[in-house]
Amino acid sequence: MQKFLCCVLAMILLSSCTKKSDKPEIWIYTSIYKDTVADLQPKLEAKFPQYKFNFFQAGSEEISAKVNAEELAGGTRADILIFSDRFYFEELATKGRFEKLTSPLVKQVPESMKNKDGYYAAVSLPVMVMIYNSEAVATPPKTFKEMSGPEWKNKFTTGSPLASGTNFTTVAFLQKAYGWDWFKALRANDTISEGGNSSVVRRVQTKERPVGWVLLENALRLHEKNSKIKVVYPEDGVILQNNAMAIIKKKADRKPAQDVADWFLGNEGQDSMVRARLMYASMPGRPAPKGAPELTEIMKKAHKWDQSTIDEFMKNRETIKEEFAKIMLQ
Amino acid sequence: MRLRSALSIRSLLLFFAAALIFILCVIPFASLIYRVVSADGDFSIAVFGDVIAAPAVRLAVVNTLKVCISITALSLIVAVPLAWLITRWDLPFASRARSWLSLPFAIPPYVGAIAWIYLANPSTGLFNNVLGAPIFNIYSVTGLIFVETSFLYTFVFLGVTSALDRMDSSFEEAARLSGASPWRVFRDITLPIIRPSLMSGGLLVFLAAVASFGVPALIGGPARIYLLTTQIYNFQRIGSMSGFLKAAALAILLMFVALFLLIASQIVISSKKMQTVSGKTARPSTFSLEKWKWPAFAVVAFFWCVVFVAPVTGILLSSLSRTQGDLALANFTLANWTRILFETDETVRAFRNSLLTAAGAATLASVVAIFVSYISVKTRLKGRAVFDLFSSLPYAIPGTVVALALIMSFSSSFLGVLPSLYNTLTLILIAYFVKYLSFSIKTMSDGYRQIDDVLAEAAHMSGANWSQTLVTIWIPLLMPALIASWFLVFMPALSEMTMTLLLTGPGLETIGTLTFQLQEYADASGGGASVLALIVIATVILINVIVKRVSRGKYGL
Repeated sequence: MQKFLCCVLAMILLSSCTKKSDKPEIWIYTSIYKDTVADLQPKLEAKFPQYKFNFFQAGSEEISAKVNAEELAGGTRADILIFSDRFYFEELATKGRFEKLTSPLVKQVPESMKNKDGYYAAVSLPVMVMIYNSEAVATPPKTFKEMSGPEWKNKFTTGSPLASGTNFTTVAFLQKAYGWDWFKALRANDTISEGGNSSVVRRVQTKERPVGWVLLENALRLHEKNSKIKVVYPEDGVILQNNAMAIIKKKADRKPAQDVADWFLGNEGQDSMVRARLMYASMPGRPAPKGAPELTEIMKKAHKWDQSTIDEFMKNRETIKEEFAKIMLQ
Repeated sequence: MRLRSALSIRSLLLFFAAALIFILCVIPFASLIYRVVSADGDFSIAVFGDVIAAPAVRLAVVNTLKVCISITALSLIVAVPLAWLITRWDLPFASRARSWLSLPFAIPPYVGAIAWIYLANPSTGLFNNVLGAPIFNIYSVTGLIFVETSFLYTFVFLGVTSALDRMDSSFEEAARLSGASPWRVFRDITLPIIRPSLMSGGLLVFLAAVASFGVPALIGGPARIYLLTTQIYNFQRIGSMSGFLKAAALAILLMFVALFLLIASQIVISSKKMQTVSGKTARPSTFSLEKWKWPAFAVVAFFWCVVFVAPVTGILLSSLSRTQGDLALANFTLANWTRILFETDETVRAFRNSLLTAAGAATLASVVAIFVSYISVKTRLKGRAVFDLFSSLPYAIPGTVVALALIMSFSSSFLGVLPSLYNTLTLILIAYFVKYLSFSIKTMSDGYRQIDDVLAEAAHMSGANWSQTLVTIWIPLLMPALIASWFLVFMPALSEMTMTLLLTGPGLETIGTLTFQLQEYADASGGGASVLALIVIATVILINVIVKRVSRGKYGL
């Protein structure tokens, strides 16, 4: 028994003394896909052989929770954050937790897709569209707006703004456009608003609710295997999301992180981000996702990001969620 | 001289176990509380008030109580007769039925919920499709209670069967010889003796139900039933620091409620002295079911089909489906299996990591429980109950919060002394240990409680020192409890997802993180997650079969 305990203790101590490499480490916390990470990591390592790259890859909500916990414990380990909760970036920027991005390429990122003081910028643009199961729906919907109509009773599903950042952004824009009464009508239609984007896909696939709003990337990934699921680009405007990038302020030299951030906005980085062609690039001139209209085309109708909108959503963040919960979830 | 040396080994081991609990189960949560009250720079408990004042939280409290009390009651109602039937009656295939009935616990609850949604959702559920009418609605309070109970009754079942195995059946026999009916024997002899197991089993179910997240999120969500854990999650997912603090504050409150419950239950349990194992007993003689033999078997088999075969069939169909929910023959394929087994690089690494951490946590927890339960049951040390209590707290709060507390304590060097365990498998192992230790301690404490001190005294008088007594008396008699304890930690840890997602790092994939990744990104059709779930269930069954083989049928679930 004693031997065993000694072994356990030794094991704990051993495994904690992990081999230290001499290279400075760069920690990137990101919600970009694992396969995208797998694709760009070797390129990063080839470009910056002097650094060791570590990725923590998870959903936006896991990342913000982890960063919050680390911040409370004295400072996050992350050097670079890349994920799609723009409001979280805005909050940390206001708190002075970010270093200004020095890359000259930031200038080329459209105004509406970066922080006004240069603390973060989008590296790619996921987009919220609608999908439907063509086996269960003969005439597909054309707009978000019409989903409140009686013909869609028991047919529509959405993610929950309580469960995912991209769904929050969507709810925020749609309540601004159509008001809470529109959501009340959705509720009257028995719309299921639960979980993140993958739950929506599951419900559309099983025809439990044959129409849903979901990120284009989820739809495109699915479409490869399942041609029954079709994409609708709502005529009343898709909802663009921002996969934002920022550098955490630290005492350590920030030059390495700045170089890496520059790489993400450069040709190689942007190519990797949109390689699978599941989302739009934030730098102009990249190809659109498979089968999707050009960004400029989509931007014409898309709901607009500007500073006053951001401020408004930031200020009402909790009220928006509470109001949504009251209408849709209780 | 001899006494002194025996005493020192004993105190050393006991001290080590106690210290481990203190360091891993107390310090992280104490520091969580500290950080929450001092988040703004000065001391403030206003956040607790804000949380309590929120109407959504009050509603969640009411729902949680309603749902969890029902689950506990139902688990007891279902599990106790089953355990009694299997250990005390001549049920056909009794030993096999016991293994079968323990299996639902091996289904990851998250996957089980998906399986039930597939089988019984009101619009397209398989059962409803077959029957041609929406008869079953899993999205309801009843559905939620049903699904939770179908996993959680195993706590009571495992605890009570192992108590019935260990108890001295001579009391029962005496009663029978005096002409008591089976029911009377049960009511007057058996039930009072197994009461501690019943209570701690019931308590575990209650705490597990309160702490459960996967099932309430997936089934409660669409039914618009919110529990405390889903509410904590909602706060946390606001994303802002204030939301984060609210989530932590609510979790801390939940921890105190659990503390209160645990203390109350300890007072009740410790007021009764219950020792009934006075050595190795022969197999108890069984009552005869006579003509009810096969009907009874049919009932047990039907129950098993409902709680295990149905969801596993659901998972199996889903793992073979090209698109979920399509029952056309053309839709069936082995593609999900080949993709997960042969085309996903992480699969092997995820399994290795999960097996290592789950087995490590299960072993560590069971070993620690040998000592901690010894302290709390077999010694009169002051404050002995504290360890039992502290080890139970992490279980009562949602995994996310446990993981966040561990992140806070371990993100830099722990306590300023130990090297940082951050981004190591060891920290994931510790998380499993912390979260599930109470399973081990509860099971082992029940075990100790039933073993009469006279055995240890006899060993002592024959000159055995403490460690000899431990090895020759306690451990052999505790073996069924030890095995149960090991599995109770191993099974949920093997596919744990919520904590692991936050603690994982480069190269540290587990089955849980792989499932998440498949579900969220790579494999939206959902078949991949089902493949993993089936492999998890198969692994648990395999290990159990090996344990049974090696022990020649003596031990195992």
